[in-house]
Amino acid sequence: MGKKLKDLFMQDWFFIVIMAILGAGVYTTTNMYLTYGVGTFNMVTSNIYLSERDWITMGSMGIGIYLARIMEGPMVGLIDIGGGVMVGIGTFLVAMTGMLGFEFILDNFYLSLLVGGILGLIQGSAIMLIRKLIPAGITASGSDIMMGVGHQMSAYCCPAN
Amino acid sequence: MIGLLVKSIIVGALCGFAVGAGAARMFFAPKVMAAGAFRTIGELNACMGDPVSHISFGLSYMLNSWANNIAYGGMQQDFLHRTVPNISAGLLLLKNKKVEETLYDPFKMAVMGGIVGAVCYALMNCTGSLVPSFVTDKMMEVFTPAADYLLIVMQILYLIACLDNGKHTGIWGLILGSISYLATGNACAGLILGILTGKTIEDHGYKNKVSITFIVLMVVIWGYICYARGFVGNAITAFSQLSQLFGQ
Repeated sequence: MGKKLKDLFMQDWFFIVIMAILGAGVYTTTNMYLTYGVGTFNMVTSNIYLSERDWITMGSMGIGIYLARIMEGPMVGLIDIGGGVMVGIGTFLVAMTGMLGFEFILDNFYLSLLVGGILGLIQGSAIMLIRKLIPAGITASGSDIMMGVGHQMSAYCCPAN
Repeated sequence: MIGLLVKSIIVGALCGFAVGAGAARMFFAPKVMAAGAFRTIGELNACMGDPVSHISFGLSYMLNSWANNIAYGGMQQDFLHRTVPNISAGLLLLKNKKVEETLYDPFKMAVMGGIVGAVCYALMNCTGSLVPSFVTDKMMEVFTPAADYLLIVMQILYLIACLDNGKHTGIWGLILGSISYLATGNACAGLILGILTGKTIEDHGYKNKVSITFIVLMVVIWGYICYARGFVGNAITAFSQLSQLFGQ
């Protein structure tokens, strides 16, 4: 029984389940913050813009590291959940939701769980798809520059990061 | 209070479950696709299967996250990177010292991660009322101008990066960054996408499938953003006002 469950949790398609569950959780932390004022996984600056509902600025803070981690994930076999999920789904996709006019999702706990799960599912499926297609094709470049900028930013702005 | 407690338990359990499973799968990457972080696997290995070091490492970062949560309402990323994996590993290793059967087993790590995540997340959220409100008000007063300055620094860093890295990144970065700044007030998004597009063109050439996809995507995305923000209308109005100022 234990061995069967362990093998189940190691399957390739189970990664998509992991991403869906994690996406639901991280997306809903935004709802917790908007209702109770605690609980996100963001940086200080993202929370300030979230409390003012300034979606454009909040979206621009997360896009770089998100794109870089999504492109790096399938190649390395490890998606970094800091940039890929907590910044990606928790900051960037939340800001996208607000920008496109779906703010009512963020104000409702159960809708947030559902939408977060769907977004995580889409992201997990996309990553597994890219991973299956990689040996045949070539990849986009530029993620090394992204990580360099991120490194510089954390060197300059240490306390607020 | 009850609502906060119940919701925290749900969200904490979901996050902890996924992180536990993802962290255990990291030991089998890249054959198995994992979800964690490079620092997580480094620190899990560094504790070398000793439950006391796992638990004390996780607890020290939990105190850090706790303080941040009370101060401005967001724990940083350390909760999912360091606290949940390490405390789950430590608790599993207390009973069974063999790493192959505990730490490398995604099912056990997922279940323990769910429990640890639920308990710790709920604990950190429900103790927010311990801090008097004037402390958080003062903190926000300090952080808001700092956040504005941080935005300017971010844009400049990305601008330096795009100019430093060659002709193509420079051209695309400057064009898309200017459009982004004029249309949305923040140049970061345009600069980042310009760097990625320019680097892809530089590495693979203009005729490549990936490059053409990127260029088409950029035109579509920025065209839509300019249309949605009324950029073209504003520009025409501004130019016509300028020409009236100069008396035709």
